[in-house]
Amino acid sequence: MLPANPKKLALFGIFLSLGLVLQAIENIYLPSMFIPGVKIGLANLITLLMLPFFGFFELGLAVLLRVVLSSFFSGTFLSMAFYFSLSGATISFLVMYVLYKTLHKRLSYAGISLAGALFHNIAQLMVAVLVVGSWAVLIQLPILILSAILTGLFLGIVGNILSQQLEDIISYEL
Amino acid sequence: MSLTRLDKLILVIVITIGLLSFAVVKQVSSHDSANEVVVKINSKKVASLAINYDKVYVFQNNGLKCWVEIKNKKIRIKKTKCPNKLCYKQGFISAPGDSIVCAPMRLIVTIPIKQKKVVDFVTR
Repeated sequence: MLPANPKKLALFGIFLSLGLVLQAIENIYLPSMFIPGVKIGLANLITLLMLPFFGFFELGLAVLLRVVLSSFFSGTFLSMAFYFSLSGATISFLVMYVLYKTLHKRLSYAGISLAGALFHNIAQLMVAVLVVGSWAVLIQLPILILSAILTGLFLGIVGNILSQQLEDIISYEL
Repeated sequence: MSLTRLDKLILVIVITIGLLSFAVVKQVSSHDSANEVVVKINSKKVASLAINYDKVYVFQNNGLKCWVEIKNKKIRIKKTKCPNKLCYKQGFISAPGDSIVCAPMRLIVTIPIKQKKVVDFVTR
């Protein structure tokens, strides 16, 4: 599942470590602000930026590794927070991958990231419903969707700005 | 920075889902309002008042007296003979879990939460 091309493998490692660093920064300096469950999801920016360069399995592996390794950093491996983050990351990755592969000519990162953030939050909330065993958790849905709009749009716009620079550099390197 | 037309479409769809969910949650959560008010004196339950009928009830303890009014499914201390009148100044309460306390009278008026108030779950 790892990229065979050594340059791609190096790129994979760089992206993975960038994602981990962003995740760590977010865990330390921006712990769930104001409302439980509301986060920026900085690491999702990295998934977004990786989309053009890697295939499905490589991306999936990167997302999985990021979730597992960052849970080692924050000491939440196999805790509830880990399952929340795993479910959110998986679903949002699948959504973003499908959107990117099917519509990327007509869709910028903003739209992809927005949909990813939305499904990330919905997936987490569904896991919360299963864990708590009550639909009452859904009362958080409007707040989470609002936060998904803000963070998704923000990260998508940042992604738009970064990707232009990045694609020039990386396609030259590869 | 440039959003394509499809981006904007997704934005609009997501905002619509958000507003819909807000409306649904509001609709659902408004149903589980309490239908009684519990009055405790010296930590012992002395009365449970129906919230649907507008009425004024009188309670007394420690030689003091207060009038508990229920009006439009809201509760307040309408009048009190206690010294500092904090309970009166609090005004109306209506949400489950809210309570009015009169310390001199050792009286608590509270709208009970239907389920037991325990923490469902703590992550991390």
